[in-house]
Amino acid sequence: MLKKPSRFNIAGFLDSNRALLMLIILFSALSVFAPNFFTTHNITTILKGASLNAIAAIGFTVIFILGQLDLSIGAVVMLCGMLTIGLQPQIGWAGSFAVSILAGAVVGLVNGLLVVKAKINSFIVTLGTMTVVMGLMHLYSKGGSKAIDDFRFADFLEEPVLTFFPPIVIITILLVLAFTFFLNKTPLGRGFFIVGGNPETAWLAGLKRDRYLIAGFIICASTAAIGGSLFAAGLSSMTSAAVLANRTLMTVLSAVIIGGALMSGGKGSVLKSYFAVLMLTTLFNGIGCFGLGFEVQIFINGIILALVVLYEAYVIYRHDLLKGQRPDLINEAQTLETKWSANVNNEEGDGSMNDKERFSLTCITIAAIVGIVAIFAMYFMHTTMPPRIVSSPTNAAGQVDVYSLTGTDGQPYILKQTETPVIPPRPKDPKSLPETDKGHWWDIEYAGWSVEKAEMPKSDASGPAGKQVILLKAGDHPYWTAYVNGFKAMAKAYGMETKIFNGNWNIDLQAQQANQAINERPDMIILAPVDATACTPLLRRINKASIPCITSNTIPVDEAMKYCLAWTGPDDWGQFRMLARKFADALDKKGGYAIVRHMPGSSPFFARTYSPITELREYAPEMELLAMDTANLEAEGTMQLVSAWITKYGDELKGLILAGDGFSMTGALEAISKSSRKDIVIVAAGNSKTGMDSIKAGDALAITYQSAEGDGAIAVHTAAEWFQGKELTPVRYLPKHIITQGDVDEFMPPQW
Amino acid sequence: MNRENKTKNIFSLSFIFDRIGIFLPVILLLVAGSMVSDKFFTAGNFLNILNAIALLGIVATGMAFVTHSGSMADLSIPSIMAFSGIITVAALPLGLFAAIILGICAGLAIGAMNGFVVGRLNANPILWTLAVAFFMEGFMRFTWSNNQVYPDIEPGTAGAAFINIFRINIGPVPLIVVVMLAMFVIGHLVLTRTRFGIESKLTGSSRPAAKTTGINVPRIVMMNFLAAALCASIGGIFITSMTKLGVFYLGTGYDFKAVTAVVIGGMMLSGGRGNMLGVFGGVMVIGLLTNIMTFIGINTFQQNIVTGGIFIAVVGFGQYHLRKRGKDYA
Repeated sequence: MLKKPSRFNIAGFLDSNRALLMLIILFSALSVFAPNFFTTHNITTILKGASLNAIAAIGFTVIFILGQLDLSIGAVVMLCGMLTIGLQPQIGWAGSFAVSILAGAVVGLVNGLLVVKAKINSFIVTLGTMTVVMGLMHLYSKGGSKAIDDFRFADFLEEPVLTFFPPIVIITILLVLAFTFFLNKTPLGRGFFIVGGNPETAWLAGLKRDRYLIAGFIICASTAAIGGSLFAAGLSSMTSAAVLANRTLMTVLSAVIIGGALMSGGKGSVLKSYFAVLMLTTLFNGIGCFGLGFEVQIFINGIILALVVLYEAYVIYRHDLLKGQRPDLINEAQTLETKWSANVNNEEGDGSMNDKERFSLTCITIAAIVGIVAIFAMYFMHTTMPPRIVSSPTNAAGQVDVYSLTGTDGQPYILKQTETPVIPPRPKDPKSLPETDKGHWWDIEYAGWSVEKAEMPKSDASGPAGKQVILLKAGDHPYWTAYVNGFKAMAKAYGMETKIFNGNWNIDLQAQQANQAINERPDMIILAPVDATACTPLLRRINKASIPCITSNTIPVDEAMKYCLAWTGPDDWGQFRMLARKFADALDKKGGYAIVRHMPGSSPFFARTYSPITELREYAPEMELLAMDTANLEAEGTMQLVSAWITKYGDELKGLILAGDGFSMTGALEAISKSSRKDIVIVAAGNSKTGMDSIKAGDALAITYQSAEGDGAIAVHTAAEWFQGKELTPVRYLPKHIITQGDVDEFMPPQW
Repeated sequence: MNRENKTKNIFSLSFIFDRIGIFLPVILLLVAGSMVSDKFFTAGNFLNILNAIALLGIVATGMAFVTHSGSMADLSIPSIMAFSGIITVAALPLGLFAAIILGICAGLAIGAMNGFVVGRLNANPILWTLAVAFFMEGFMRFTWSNNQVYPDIEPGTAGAAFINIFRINIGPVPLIVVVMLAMFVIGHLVLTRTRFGIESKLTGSSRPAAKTTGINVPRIVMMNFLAAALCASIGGIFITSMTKLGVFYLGTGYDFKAVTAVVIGGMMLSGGRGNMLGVFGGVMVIGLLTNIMTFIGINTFQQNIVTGGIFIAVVGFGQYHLRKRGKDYA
């Protein structure tokens, strides 16, 4: 056998501790270079932010050690978090934790039995259970979020007891250490490595593979359940937006790989996976400190993962070379570093030179194609996006006149506030009313109007100039690009400095970013919640740190409104009432209609469904709701859904209400044109280019006017008013308007 | 292989499944559909179903190549779809034809990279393509600043013609359905009648065996990833044409959807087993299921539960059946 060269040990040491090394290097680099990174508060933020993924990664590592895969962990995290919050009021924390961890274990048991007894590949089994568990979670939550008003347990979990370590972090570390000990030091734990790495040996050693596999799946789902339950408890609420599941799965998967686990089984370490999770969280945090967006995070995440995967491939390749089957190559192997690429071709043995040449030719061609494509991409990027110059008109007094600023559509960003809307009295017990009654939704529709605010920071009336404002935006979407444009233009007009964090629709990420924003001690935080309910603890934390905060865009629940100065944004409910009336008028208040809903987990999922339903029940009682469902705002899905409705209901279906005028509109119009039912009346929430174009072409009747730029601008404007020492109304709506063919030109070109 | 000795019951589920495979659930669903509504068995409804699954079908054809050749799955397919779509829209000023070629080249470039790394460097296909999906998403978001790219759709321009790709009908049948059917037929012929197809099958069944037979395994893997990328690019161009804009999140979810279709259709993730007709059956099952459940009035949440359950059941039954027939070791 070939003796290992001595340097191999160093390389081996570096390799086996790569996650820790990356973490140390990254951490030191960021401590030196990144602003506001190296503070007690921020380090706690990182540790806390890593806890969900770290706990889920424990079980995931076990599954990797067994050579299996579990795609359902993200869904289990969400289901169990939802159960914890949903059951807490009835059975208390201990009970709800027990039930949700049990639920997780049951999912794991099902996975394990299907893999072991039905002998189906774990990738397939867990892909199936992922769908099923997500469906169950959505059924249980009805597509909404759940929350409890009692924050004592959340505070306990989140308040640091030792300098850096809140209980939630201590629990995480204890779990990691316990499993590390279990896997490495106990015979039972070592069995997992043998079963995963070498099934024959395991069989000879009398280890029962089936039991190990089932146990592995149960551990995996249970840790995911613990992670989800603790996460939900720490927030006192849980969202039902699927993105949390996806991102958890993807982050955990990359972390476990970076931590050194092999997909083929037999290798992996819970501790190293934990370091890898910490490394990724640190990376995201550091990128946030520099004010860079999610695109940079995911790009770097991809590159790191790609390098690790390539490195693993290299190790296996090298290992194969050293097996001794190819003595002629051993010499080459010893001087491998420089000749790797050349050796790769020799691997084929019989591969002729011709093949080699052809292959390099292919590589060059590919490189050339990539290059050409990239150049084209750059070129067209610059031609399609002309830079916009925002001028700041000044009024007679030399101050900036913000009311005269206009957006890309020629409309003013903000209007002078003229009248306060009339708020109907709150029904005694809204939840006891049926869902088709306006009163049922009172708490959501009029959130914030009558709430008693917690103690708020006082404005020193020193004016907005030079103030630092941090925007925590919900995610990336063309709407949000326009939003940020308006936000920045208005901030510039007031002379405020801005910094933007992007929550990427993930409440886990936004919770970390809220902590990060507090750490920077800005003069104001503007929070555009990812989730209307789960943002409550975030606002509470900001309020506790006595930083003034304004919420924007998604209207939070009453409980959250306590902790912010004001909310600004579109009046979804009001707009849809106006839209519904227009819709009913066009149909002579007769006939059946259907609703294509927004994404579950978002607040428009309810607003843009029940606002028209309740309004039409009063305004046009003869109209009948035939069907409503979500297609996740996808064009193909909407087309399929609407096509089936048209076939099913035929002439009964007279109109469609869409929760979005982008892909939903495209899909619905396709379905309508395929079935030649041009008579179907369409109204939608606006106002993207697709929606505006269809209004102009006469395909759709009406859309709401929701200025994305104005949405961003009004938040800054309200912040500026607070800095000036003005009294704020708790809720401030964007102007309401319904766009029809008659006035669509006034709103051209569309903002996004 | 002493099938003659076995007692045959022509009415047994196993016997029927052996003959028609995935089309058994298809037939069951057709029967169920006709019981649910009298409007189910109409030409219009079938066109709707075909139209709705066409995109998935096109992408699944590509995924089938990857799965069949033993590389499990290509998770970068959504990013290939989005990227080829964006490039096509961005290149429209050069003319429709050039734009489509460029868009497909863009997708093929990613496919070639995948093929090279997985085939030549033996990286784990799932992890590698996941990494590619990550950094391509980052790249597209960064380059286009999270914006949507709109083509110029004034009548007479290349943009208008591009928008029409999705909307052209050949007779009563939309072009995309024709393309899907054609791709299944071509895919089937490629997999069964060509040297490449046979070599892919052997590569998928056992890489070492394929290697010893003298097959250039890296090239076969590369070609299969290229095939997947080609299909995904075509799908990407259709979806972009449908939505009339290019943006980084188009195609989201098509990775797992395509794997679902391919696996329901009887292809094994371990490779080498299954055929293209089965994949078509798998796509049909998904389309019919969604259609029937919408007819009944089952909402999306419940549909997920049913679809997931049926997915596991069909695949489980298929594997059970293969094992019983002695066709699989597992």
